[in-house]
Amino acid sequence: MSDAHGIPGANLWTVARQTFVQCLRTRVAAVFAVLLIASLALLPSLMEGDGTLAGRIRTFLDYSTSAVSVLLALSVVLLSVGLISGDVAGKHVLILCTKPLCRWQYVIGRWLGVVMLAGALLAGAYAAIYLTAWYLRGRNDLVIGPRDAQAVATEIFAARTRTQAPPPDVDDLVRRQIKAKKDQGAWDDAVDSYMKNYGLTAPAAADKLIGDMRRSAASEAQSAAPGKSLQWKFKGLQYAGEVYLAPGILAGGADQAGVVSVRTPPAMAQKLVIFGPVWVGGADERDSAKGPAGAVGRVVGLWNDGFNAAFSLDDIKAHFANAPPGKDVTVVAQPTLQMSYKLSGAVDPNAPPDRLAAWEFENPTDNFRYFIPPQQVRVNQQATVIVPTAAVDPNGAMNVRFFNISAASVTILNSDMSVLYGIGGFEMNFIKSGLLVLMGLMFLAALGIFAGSAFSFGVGCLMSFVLLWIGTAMRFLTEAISSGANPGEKGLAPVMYDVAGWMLLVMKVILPDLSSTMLNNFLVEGTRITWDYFSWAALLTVGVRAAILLALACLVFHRRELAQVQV
Amino acid sequence: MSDSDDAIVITSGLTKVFKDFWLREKVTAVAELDLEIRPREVFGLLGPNGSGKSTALKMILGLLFPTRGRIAVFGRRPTDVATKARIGFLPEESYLYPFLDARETLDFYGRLFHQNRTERRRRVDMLLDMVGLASVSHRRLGEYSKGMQRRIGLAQALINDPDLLIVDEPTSGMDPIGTRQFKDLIVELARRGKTVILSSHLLGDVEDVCDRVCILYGGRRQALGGVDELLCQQSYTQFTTDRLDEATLDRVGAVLASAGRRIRQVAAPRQKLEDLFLRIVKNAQESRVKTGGATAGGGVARFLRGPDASDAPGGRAVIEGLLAAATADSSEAQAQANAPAPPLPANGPADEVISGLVTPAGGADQRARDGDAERLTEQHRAAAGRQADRSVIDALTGGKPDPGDRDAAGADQPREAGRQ
Repeated sequence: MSDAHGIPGANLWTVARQTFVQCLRTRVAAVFAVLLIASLALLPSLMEGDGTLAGRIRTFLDYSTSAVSVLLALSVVLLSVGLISGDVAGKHVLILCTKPLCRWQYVIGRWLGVVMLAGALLAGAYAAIYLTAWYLRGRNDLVIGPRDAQAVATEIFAARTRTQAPPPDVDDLVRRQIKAKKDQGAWDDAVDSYMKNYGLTAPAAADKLIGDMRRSAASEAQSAAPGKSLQWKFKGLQYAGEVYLAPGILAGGADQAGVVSVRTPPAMAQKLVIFGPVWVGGADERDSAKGPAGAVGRVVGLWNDGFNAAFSLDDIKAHFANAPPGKDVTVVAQPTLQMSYKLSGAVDPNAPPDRLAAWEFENPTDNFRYFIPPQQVRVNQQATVIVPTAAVDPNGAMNVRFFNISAASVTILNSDMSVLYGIGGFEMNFIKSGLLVLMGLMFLAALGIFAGSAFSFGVGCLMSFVLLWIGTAMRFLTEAISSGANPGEKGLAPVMYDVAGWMLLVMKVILPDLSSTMLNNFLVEGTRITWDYFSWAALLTVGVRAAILLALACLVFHRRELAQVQV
Repeated sequence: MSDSDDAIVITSGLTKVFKDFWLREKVTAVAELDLEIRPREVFGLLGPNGSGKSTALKMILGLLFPTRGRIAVFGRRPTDVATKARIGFLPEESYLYPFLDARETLDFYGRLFHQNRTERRRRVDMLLDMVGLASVSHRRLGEYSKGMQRRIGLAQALINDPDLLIVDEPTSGMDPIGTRQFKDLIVELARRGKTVILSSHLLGDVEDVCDRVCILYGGRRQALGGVDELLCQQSYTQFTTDRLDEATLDRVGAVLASAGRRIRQVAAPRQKLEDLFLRIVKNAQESRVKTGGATAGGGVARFLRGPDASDAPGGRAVIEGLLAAATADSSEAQAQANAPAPPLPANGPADEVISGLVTPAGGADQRARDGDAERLTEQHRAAAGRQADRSVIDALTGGKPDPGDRDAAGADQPREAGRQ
């Protein structure tokens, strides 16, 4: 890429710089800044989430990043469509294109200028969001309980990796069910019934029947009757973080409930999580007071300078029976995992919508087990338990078992259950999230530049906004079309669904899923944006789709008569 | 700079048909246009509105694509970047960005020619001074009057010291100072060997500066040739001399009658309104009357005057001559123009004296007062010398050759030679 006349890329920079200045002078940036400042000033006080500090920050992050994405998306589309179409309508191109400026340089330079402006505005907006989020984090007066403070640290200001629960293996079960039906001579009747009900051919009806059986078996395999349990085997858990070791002092002996009080430096208290594991060593002369040796308990109370931990009676007897108050100990905190899950089940309007759930986590290599006693869990709401990483073996495997202590059945779908663990820093995740938004904006700028190079401002805006909406609502549209199509239906409707399906397929090729880039939930969920995901998003959104649009824009503009008269 | 005598612009069978939305042919804007524009000439495209002038120019600039025929500019396609690097274009209206000020505008276009910062700054300063916008260079173009926008438009067209300057309706919206300055600039550029294509329906502008013109109508070429060739009335002779009293006039009439000729018209030349206007503005400037608009402007930017240019008198004299011409009496103007005819008093009792052989509408005396008078007067004299009956002239001048007639012998020399 070099100019036929002069320094390579110099014209690109000249046009980009000019575009940047133009956008600033036309006050679009000023309008954006005013809206952004207003929203950042109002959102923290208006959005309280679930009342906790974690909920408040999460809601703030959700709304502020969404507001920035939406405002910038609209601004970028309007600007980029208007730049070239405006130059053509205002005949500025008559002068520009008589200078030694290739038309492709003009088109790409315009795009670069919009991207530079969008990048600058986005950087400013994200800096403001970051500072506001940190300001909220320091508002101790808004913290509701120790769990709230821990949630802020481990679920929001974190970059966690999510590992979905493995789906239940129902192949054998379904195979057995089919064999049983065939043995009973009921299989052909069932297929005939599907053929009649859905208007399908025999093979299609058999496929649909098998699919329904699989879904039914999977649902059954993920449900636990009262007193029964469910089990999952996670693999590939690769948590980050190191064991943190600090001195402590026993504040008192073990009480009747097996709770020991320990004073520690604030730095250690910040590493512990309520209901999370803690190792205390050196209380008994027999302990080596090194590493994780000693007793492992669960944190049941947490302060800035200490904690209460509950131990089993055996541990109390072995490690704390002879330890006097004021005894120096060593406290060890390990990184933790968070397991997110949702109990699904029928809700009785006459009874509280809670179930009693108990969990056991097992290291399959050394058989270390961490047990969480029964807790009240609300049905159909996402819940989290904290798990010590000691339950994960060196290969990243962990066995999980759920005990349904309730009097009613519950279901935990594998799609509703995942293990999250810290693996990267919040700041890097924050930057990546911003860059994902920028990628979406780069695509939209390319879309706007293409529309502006081919059409008038009005037509270009209409086209761009329709595509922006489709790109944002891609998932919704896919679900709507797939769920709306009924295989047995006849007439015009299935044809329309087919057409819509094909059009959506084309749109999926042309458009990136803007809901996963521009309106990403990574910050809200505190989940890490992996480099793989980031790289693919960059390649497909910018490297392929935006590049194709820009190439088309260059081609169209190259062949366009700039002084065309209306006749 | 044009370094060969090969044609700068060649069009062959150039045709442009505009189509409607359904691709039906609607308007033939230019039809079968053959042109050959030579180096160092000022070429005028003339025609009424809708005659195809602008369309032809825009095809030459690569902004429109021909339906048929071909165009070569500097031997290349019009869209070639190397071609465009040698072109300056002033469109019919200011299509500059209103949010930039004059300095930013020129800086932006200078960057597109990859001029370094020092060079850009130097040229921008000179051009702003030349077009008289230096004092308002920090005002955004959106606040400029139409004439001021034309001036900055002209400056942007010259930022690269183009070898080929294409101007479309150049003096539209300009005040008389700007118009006069523009015409002198064209002359100066031509003197430096630049090629200029000028499209206009203001016949006076074209006549004043063009060497050759092409007259278009209905998109077709109706006439093509040198201005003198097209305008010269071969059957008449015109003199300009001191005011004559009745007796002298009678004697002249007698001499002419003896040669079988008669005086067809006797009139005193009128001062042009343009000159009067320029003189008033000059006086106002000398009185330091404040203005928020354009000033008279400086001389032609030094980088446009070529390597032999110096600060004074050189190109600046061309512009200064504009104002000087308006205030100086005719004798000064004619002396400056090296014109042969003695001066006529501007006013006074001799007004009724017939300025005998001078036709009031003639271009020669007007040009003689202009800064470019030398070239134009010589041109006219050369043409006149080819036709005049020498015996009659000798009788009128007492048999002595007119000192200003020095070029009569060389009247057939090509005009380009005079410039070099």
